[in-house]
Amino acid sequence: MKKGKRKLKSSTILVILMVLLLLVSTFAVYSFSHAVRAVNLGETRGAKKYEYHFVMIHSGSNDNFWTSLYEGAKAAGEKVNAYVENFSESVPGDYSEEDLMDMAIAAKADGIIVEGSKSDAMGELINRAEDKGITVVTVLQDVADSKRRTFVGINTYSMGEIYGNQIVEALEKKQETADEDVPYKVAVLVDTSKDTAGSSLVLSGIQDTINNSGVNAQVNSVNIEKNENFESEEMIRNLILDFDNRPNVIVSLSSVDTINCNQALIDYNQVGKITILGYYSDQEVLNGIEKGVIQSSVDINANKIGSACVDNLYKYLLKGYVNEYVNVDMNLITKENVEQYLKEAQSNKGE
Amino acid sequence: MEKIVEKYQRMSIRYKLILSFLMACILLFLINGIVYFDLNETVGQIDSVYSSNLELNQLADGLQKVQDTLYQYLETKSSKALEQYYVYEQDYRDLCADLNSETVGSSTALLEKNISNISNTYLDKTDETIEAKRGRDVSRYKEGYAESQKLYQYLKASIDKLNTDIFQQNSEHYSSLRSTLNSVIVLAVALLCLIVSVTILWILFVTNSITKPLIELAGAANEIAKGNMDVSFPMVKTGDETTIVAKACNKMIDSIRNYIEEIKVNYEREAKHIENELVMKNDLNEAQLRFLQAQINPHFLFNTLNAGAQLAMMEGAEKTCLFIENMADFFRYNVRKMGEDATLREEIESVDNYIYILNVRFANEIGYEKRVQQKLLNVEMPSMILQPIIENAVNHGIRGMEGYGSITLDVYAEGDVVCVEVSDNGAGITDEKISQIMENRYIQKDEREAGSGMGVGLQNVISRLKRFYNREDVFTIEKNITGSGTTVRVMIPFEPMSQHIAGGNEND
Repeated sequence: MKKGKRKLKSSTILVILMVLLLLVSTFAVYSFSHAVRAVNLGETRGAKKYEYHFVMIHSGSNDNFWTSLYEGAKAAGEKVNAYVENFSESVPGDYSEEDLMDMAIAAKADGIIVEGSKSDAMGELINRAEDKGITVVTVLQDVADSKRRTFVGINTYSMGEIYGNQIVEALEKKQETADEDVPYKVAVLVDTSKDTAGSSLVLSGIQDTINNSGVNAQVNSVNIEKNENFESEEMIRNLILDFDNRPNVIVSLSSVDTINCNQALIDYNQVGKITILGYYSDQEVLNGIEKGVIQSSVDINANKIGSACVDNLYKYLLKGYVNEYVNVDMNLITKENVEQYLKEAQSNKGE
Repeated sequence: MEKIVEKYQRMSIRYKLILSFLMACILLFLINGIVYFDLNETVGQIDSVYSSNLELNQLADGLQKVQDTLYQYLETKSSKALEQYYVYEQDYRDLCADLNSETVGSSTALLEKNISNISNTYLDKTDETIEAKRGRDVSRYKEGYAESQKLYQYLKASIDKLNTDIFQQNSEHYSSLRSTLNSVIVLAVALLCLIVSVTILWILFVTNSITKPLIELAGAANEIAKGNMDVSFPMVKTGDETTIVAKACNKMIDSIRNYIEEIKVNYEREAKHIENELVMKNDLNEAQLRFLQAQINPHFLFNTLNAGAQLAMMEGAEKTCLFIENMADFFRYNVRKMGEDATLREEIESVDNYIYILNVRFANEIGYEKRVQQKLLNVEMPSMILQPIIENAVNHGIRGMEGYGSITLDVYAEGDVVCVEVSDNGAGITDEKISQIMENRYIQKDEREAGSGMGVGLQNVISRLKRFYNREDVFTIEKNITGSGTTVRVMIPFEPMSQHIAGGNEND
């Protein structure tokens, strides 16, 4: 009787084992085919679907500033179910902003965030987009006489004032040792491809501040042709190495130029001889400030600008109206507060 | 569950085997099928990896054709080119319809969407251009062509980019799919090995559960074949034919045991019968032998005795003549009746002669009295029964006693038995001796004693009587109530009606 029971038990165990095997194998196969399908479909089908398709077009393709701005825009887009495409990155080939606009219009995007330019074509394109029902937001550089719905940027005049104050501060230190008769030279690096209105406002801001302070300084704008590749680095080098006519202070209005200045001073051993006032909070710029190569940098929160662009674009799509101008705050990075920025940058990297 | 198990156990061996092997086969088939499906799926996925690139190439071709035919038509305005343009345009629209048209957070999908939308814009533009050409609006169609040319360039670049991106993605997918395939193969092999071993275990278990009872049965059968009938078949509870066989075998062995028992009893009975006969013959032989030993050529003795009787007659010695005649009769009877049955009459005559002889020898010392119912005298009985009894009575009872010894012979019927009673008034007999004689344990003390009284012992007499009548109560020995003497009784069964009754009582 006991034996019979034991037999029954072992047979039950065997049957259970068989059923288990069957289950395990089906599960394994299921999970494998699932994995295979997931691999094959990649991000394509599994990816999130969005309600809106916004396109961002700008000039600086590999710029940290623009990258940060795009990140901000993208993050803001996520919140309102809109996908922001960095057209300057995603479209192959070396197209001008106007071409990209043209493409974005042809691609029937829901909204376009574009860094304006002074060309007439841009205005026309913006108008055409608006005619086709595509909402356009200009960022940093306005195309004022177009049908663009809003402009998101900084108050360039007050930016000039900040730079002016920094120049005065720097020059006042130098005044103690220098000849009073000879005016100081201040060079402002201006991107000629951009709307002159923005940079001219910066220039007048600088000029006004210097004049008010009573420091004897001559402000010149140096045009840097960004349309030509690698032009900036060459021009800055020439500027610095021209010992007779070189400026005492260089104000750089783009992060790339700031980095170039920083690098040139170190390369040609001119640290401390020329005061650099930079733009934006790139890692290299921060390092430059920390080491005293760069005196200070005006930091625009690119991320904030990006999100402001999207927020306003979405606001318009939703409500049909929006402010024509949206200003974003600026900060000044100096040796005193650079530590904090470095820490932030570090933690951002960590993320 | 238990019901299923019970049902399974009741199945016949054939169905059990078929079911088990079928189960194993189905399991193997299922696992194989699953594995095959899995591999097929993976291989199919690998195959499909580059299909998207093929589709994109088709898209690029379609675009090229549209643009070419557009150019041809604008240049030649041939209806054939127009026809072709419409065909290609439709083809291209169809191809574009397959593209993703939703805003999705993946670069390739988004690029697809852009291509799709730009394509639509492009086709609208080309249609417009064609219309302008047909309407001979030169400036418009030139402008339209320029714009569509531009869009065409965008599209081409975008499709190329998409193609490259997808190719890159697919290459990555391909390598991961390859590795997946490898792991699928390893899994499949492992799974197959596992399932094969489980199946083997299962088959071993099933065959074992079926053959084990058979082996046990065979072992029991072997044991029985060797002659060990005490082995019983094991009770098998598999519920199939084995149980039936075991039950049948158990029944068979039971009945075989019964038969053997019966045969044994029969054999014993037969043997006893044969032994009986042998003993009877032996007893007779012994009696004859003893008698023969005792006689000296009886014919010569009879002739001599007859001669002696005649001589005594001639001399006028009557008593001597009678004595010798009696003696001759006694011996003649003994010799003649050797091995034959006699009648009670003949036995009594022989006893008469014997007592006469003894009385001559011992000078009328023995008183002899007989009370015989004449009608019983024809009862058949073995010979030489009464003479040894008388001899015993004389030798052990009367001889050596003081006073007058007498022997009484009574023959009477008692129910269906003829009683022949010999009683004496001699020394008597002890109870121990009686039981010894009756139980055939009495050993005579020496040859001399055995030889005395003609040598045919009482035990021989009892034995022969028992064999002759095939019953036990044929002989009794009793002490007389008076305290002296012994009575020996021989009980002869007879059927009173068939007996020939002659004459009345005769008392001597």
